Amino acid sequence: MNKQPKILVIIPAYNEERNIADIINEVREKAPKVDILVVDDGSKDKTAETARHLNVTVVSHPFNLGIGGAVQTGFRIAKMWNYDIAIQVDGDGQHDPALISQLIKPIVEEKADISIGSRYLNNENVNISFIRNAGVQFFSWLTTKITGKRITDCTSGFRALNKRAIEFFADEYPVDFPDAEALVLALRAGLRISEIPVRFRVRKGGSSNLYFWRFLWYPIKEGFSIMMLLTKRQRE
Amino acid sequence: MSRALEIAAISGVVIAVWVLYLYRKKRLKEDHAILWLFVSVGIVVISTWTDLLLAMNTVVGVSNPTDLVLVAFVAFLFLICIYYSIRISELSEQNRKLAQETAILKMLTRSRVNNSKTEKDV
Repeated sequence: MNKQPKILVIIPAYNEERNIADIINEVREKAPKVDILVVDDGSKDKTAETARHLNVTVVSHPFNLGIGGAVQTGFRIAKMWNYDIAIQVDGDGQHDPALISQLIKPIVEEKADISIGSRYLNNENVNISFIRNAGVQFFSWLTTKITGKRITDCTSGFRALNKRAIEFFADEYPVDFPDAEALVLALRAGLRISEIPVRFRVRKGGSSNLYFWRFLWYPIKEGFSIMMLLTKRQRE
Repeated sequence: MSRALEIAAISGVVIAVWVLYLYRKKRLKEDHAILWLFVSVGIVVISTWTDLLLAMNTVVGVSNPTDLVLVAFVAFLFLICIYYSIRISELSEQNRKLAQETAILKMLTRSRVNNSKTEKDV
């Protein structure tokens, strides 16, 4: 990429009024050249109002679509406004915006279409519970087995995408638990993925959307979706 | 005709009348109404057409003809459940796309209104 790329940071947020201002201010401070889009996924609190007060673009779903739907709305807007790079940064403060420049490096150097911040490349998985850790390891192993591409952290939501990947995901993105499935889709469509080592921070407030039943449902649904992808024809 | 078959036939007629009533009141769409009418007519036919029931009985090998009515009814219900699962999946997908479109349009409208306000202020 020769020219200065046009970058959009997509922050999907659901009931994150306690964290959203901090993460917006932090992105502005640590990555001043990027535009920010907050995708308010039908929050019941004042997430959208708080973000609007900070003069960032906010798109509000009329009801909760889930993380996949929220991120895809971001990709659709990135495609509509012709952004070169879209970066997904969670609204709970776990992703450090200071790492954005490292995250986009493989894309700027045209070595990858998707760049993922991985907690496992340098064993930075310090804030993850045992069960979740086992789940991440399992799905990373499954993704690697299926696609032949080594992915160490397939559930990381800290990702950057180039225009090709943005256009691909604007059109097709898994809704419920999109992380690993999206990567399998992307790899099967010929997109190149690379990872950079990152450390995630502890959530600043609120709670994860993986409550008990979803936590049980996650591996079943994710495993089924990934295995079923094998029965579909590859997309160009 | 056994008492069970009589009850099945009457149930089929009641379902058919109820479906027609719901359709007239616009609480059921044509395709759903037709589907349920097929089910109810099927129940009535199997329950009242004794020769057909006995012939089917011989083919399937059920000892009691009434059991065949029950099995056929459960099979119908299974098919209908799968049909509704397909419809719900399609509607969820359409719903998601509509919600995204609405959100994007509202965002664009809001930004246009804000821009025109700024221009007026200038």
